[in-house]
Amino acid sequence: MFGAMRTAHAPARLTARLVGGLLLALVGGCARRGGCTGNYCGTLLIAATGEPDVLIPPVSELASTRDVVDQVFLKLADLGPSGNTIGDEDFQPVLAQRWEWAGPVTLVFHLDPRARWQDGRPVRAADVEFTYHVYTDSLVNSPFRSALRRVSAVTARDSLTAVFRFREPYPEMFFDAVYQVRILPSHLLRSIPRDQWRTAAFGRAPVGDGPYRFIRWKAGESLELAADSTFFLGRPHVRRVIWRFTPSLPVAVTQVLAGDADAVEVLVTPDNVKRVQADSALATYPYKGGAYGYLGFNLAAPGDSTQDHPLFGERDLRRALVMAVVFGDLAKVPPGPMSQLWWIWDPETRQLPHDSAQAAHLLTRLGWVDSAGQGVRQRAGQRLAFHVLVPTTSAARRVYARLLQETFRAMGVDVALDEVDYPLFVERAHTGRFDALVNVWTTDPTPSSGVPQTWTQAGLGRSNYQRYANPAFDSLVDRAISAPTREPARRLWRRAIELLNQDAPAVFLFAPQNIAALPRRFANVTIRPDSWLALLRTWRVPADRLTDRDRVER
Amino acid sequence: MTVGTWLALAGVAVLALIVAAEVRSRAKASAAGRRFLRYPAAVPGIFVLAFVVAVAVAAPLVAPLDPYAIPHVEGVANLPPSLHRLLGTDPSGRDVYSRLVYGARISLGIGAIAMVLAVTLGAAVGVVAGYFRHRVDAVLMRLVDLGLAMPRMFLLLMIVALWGQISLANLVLLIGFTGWFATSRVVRAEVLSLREREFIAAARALGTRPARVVWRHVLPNAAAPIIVSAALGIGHVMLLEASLSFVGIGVPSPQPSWGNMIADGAPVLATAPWTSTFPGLAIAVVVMALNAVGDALRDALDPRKESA
Amino acid sequence: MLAWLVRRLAASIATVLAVVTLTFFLIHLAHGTPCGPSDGPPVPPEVCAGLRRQFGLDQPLIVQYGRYLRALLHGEFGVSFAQHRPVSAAFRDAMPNTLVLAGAALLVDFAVGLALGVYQAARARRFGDIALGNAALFLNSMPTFWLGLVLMLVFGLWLHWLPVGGMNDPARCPRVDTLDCLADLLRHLVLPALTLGLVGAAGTARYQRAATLDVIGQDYVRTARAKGLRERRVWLHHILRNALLPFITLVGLAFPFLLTGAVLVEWVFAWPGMGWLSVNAVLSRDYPMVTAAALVASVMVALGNLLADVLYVVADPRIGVRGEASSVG
Repeated sequence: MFGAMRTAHAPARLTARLVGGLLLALVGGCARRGGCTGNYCGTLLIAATGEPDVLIPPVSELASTRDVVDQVFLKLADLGPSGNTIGDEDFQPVLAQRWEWAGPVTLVFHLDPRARWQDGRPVRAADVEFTYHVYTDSLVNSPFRSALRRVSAVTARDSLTAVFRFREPYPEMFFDAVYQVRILPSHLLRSIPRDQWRTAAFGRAPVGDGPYRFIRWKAGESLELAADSTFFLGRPHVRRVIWRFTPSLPVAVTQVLAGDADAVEVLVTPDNVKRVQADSALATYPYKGGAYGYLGFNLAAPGDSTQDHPLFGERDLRRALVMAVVFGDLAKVPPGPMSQLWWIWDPETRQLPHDSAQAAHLLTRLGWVDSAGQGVRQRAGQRLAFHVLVPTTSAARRVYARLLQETFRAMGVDVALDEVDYPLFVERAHTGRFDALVNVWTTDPTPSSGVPQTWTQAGLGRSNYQRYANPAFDSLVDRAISAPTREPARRLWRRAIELLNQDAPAVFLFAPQNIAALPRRFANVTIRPDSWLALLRTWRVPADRLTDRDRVER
Repeated sequence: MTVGTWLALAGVAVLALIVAAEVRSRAKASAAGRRFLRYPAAVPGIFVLAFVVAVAVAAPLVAPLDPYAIPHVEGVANLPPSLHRLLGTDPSGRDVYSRLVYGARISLGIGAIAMVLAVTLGAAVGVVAGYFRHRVDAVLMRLVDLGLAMPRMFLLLMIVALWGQISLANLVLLIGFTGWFATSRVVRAEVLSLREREFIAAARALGTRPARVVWRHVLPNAAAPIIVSAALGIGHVMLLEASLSFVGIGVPSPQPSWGNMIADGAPVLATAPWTSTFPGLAIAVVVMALNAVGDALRDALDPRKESA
Repeated sequence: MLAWLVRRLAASIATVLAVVTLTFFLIHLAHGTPCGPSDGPPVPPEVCAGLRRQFGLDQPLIVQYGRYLRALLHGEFGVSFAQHRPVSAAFRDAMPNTLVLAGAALLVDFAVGLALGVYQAARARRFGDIALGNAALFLNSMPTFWLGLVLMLVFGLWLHWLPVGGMNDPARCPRVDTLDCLADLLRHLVLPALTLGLVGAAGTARYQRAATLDVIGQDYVRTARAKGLRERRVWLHHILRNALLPFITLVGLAFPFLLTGAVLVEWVFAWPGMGWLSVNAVLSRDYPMVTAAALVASVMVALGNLLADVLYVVADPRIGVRGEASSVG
């Protein structure tokens, strides 16, 4: 111990050497200019606010997982630029080179013989058959299982031909067959027991057939993919894609503004948009948002689905509350339960008038008056008061909840906010233990899956938290989904939405447009609204705009 | 800030000054008090504590705006400090100064209640273990070892992970019940030494009931470490509550606590740092005052523990 | 000495066992029956049955306890709900990161704390001592995560000298395999290590100040001065040599502080270590992860106390092994 004090010089020398070495490295590092050159060098560093859970497509419905697996795995065919989900004319061939209908309920896909799994094996129709079985297996319990409920069987006619058979014909057969299903490598996954897919090692190191290959995933830090130069539909120009996980959106935006990251999927607030637009190195890309938010009333008694809610069981009261909410910016408000992505978006759809005077009048007519003079309406001893459930994790929902609270207070309605953390919010929503809640749904490109799950009797016990059950609405929705062509479908959808609006199970609050931020050095950027990175393999960084990040060879 | 609230604030400051001056003059009268005054930070600490407690009590008078009300007007969020909004507004548009004032109630309240719980438990266990010794002591001290084995933060995290969000009342109880271990050791040591003093031995020889001996002789003389524990304990609890609230599992929104105010301001730190800075500063100043007063008390009440 | 060591070790093991038992009890109390009536989104019955079988929840309690102990001894901490992989795998990734941060913080803590404490003792009761003492008190009183936010704001967001969170630049240095990448890691390490270290340094400084003053007051120092030795020699050969010895015991005692502090600091700086893992797990109710982290933390605290006691005895032979080397928690 005492001896160590005398040799105090040795550590000092070592430190000096270490510091000197570091300085040299730093200087040397700056001087280096080599690395990748040419047209296939771009590196995209995405500041992501969510981290994937398992990289196996059937198992996870997280948007962050979808962004990654969209690059590693292929679908048979993908949505075209028009976003039309009816019929098959507007779809683009991907894994399937072509297809034809061998009858009203039989769809035959011919796989592209060039398609290869990243371990070298060719993609075969047996893989398609295997994938279909996995997606519909109750042990795997895929959230996308219901998308395939009208497919009766998938068989491999030969090594490159897969045949889909449906139970009955309907307009979005093709969409259901291809949109949610990403083809999986049967030779790598067949041996995994079906109830252990969520914890399989493949989920943290997937092998696919897509334009990008999985490189590494450091939990909580980053996930990296590298372009497959032999990809049969064309070599991707962006050589590396890296997701950098950040704790929140403001941090992500800060990183992008500081140059520590390249892209952000959605800027959300006007303030963020302004800051990005002020930066000359960045460009903004607006695209249709796929989400809508609403204040939903619980039509059943909290915790007891057999009874009506003491307040919201009454239709007229709900209608009065919906009318009481007046919006400043009508352009963003959805005309019903829909996002901007849906083709049924029609501002002409009849809704309840947003008129606070009429709302107050209706409340008074129903018997709700402020008899005690306390600013809260009452009727037969019952106060017009309820709680609104909001998750603390979403700033937007909290802001809307408070605005609604103020609006209703001016109407003589006493609203208290229950701000709970996200897991508790989900639990209470599922078990019906709430009066009203502010919720947001992110939707598919078509209303045919989202609306039934959330607003019909088929969704009771699942996503239909409010327990809205109107058989007339259900039947209109069914007919709209089955209508053979667009026009009759559009009319039926409109009638259904108008009926729902009259029933007023919710106040529809927002359906925002999304704005992404990307550096200007990226060219040929197209963003498909339903999945912003779907066309990533066509983006590029021209050779004359390469930066250090693009040049780094790893 | 209205004229009324400025006056109220000034009044509170004057009150705190009077309290500090009073403490100072009274302390000069005794030897213990003079030892207390040897710490230059002690009297300013008293002033700070008196000020903050008075502000918390007089919150409705001192705060101009409702800490919960979200303004219906656009463009009120993230405003910098101004004459009208003394410390700026937070991302929801609420007045930071008013929330700071009402937050004092919650943060100090939690600190005080949890501390009382912890110190009472700790003192009780320490006294019982030190007085009765032998088996009782062994069992209780093993319990204390177990309590000190897992860091408090991890225990609380574990409980929240297992049971979900806990209510404010339960949170306070939990913090109290997990904070008595160190106090019990200190009190036990004090009681062990006291036990051998003549007046205790005499009382026991006379056949006095143990409870009476403890209550009338042991406790008053063991008061010193208990008081010091209390002063320092509030500080620990306040820091713990701030940490839990910052992470999101402490005081639930929209109730203002200094911890969750820092969390509210963290997303906009780059552009509106005031929402996070002032609550943190408040915690630092109050805990510093508590630490200073606690240290001074420790010296004042226990001349044996002479520090240079 | 050996007998003492064995007894001390046994005590540590007993403590850890008690913590494990407490943890088991808490888990069982909260989640004895998964897939209960209020368990949120509906889980298919076959998955529930599997869960029950896997955890042996239809077995008597003592059998479950035995299985739990055996699993822990094999390093099986269960499967994380949120990450869908074994908790031990997540720990294997996160633990080195926390060790790096804790190590750097410990360095800052001791370097700054010792220097400060000695300097304060040398200038005892003069302006330097009082000012630094108050500054240290202020540092010790602020929430660690708040200091982190302030440092991040000033050096990261305003001055752009250092990165804003994270552990590395994922594009340039996903692995630390060049000197360049080591520099990158160090750049990311500065702020979190400073945050954790400075708060600890304040406490270390107080301790060291008292210890140094204690040594200065000793007879042999006065003798050395009376002998006419130069002040610098007095300092180097007599005061420092003896004053710095006890700080060794602080190493073990720093463990609980570092572990707890790391939770918030890692969260603020998005440093992917055990603390960050724990907070993430709490927010998604991933209790296997949190309970395992709590157990690991308890083991580290027990190790730290053991280390402190051993070093205390080694450093100061006068203590011997008879007296209770009590550690202040």
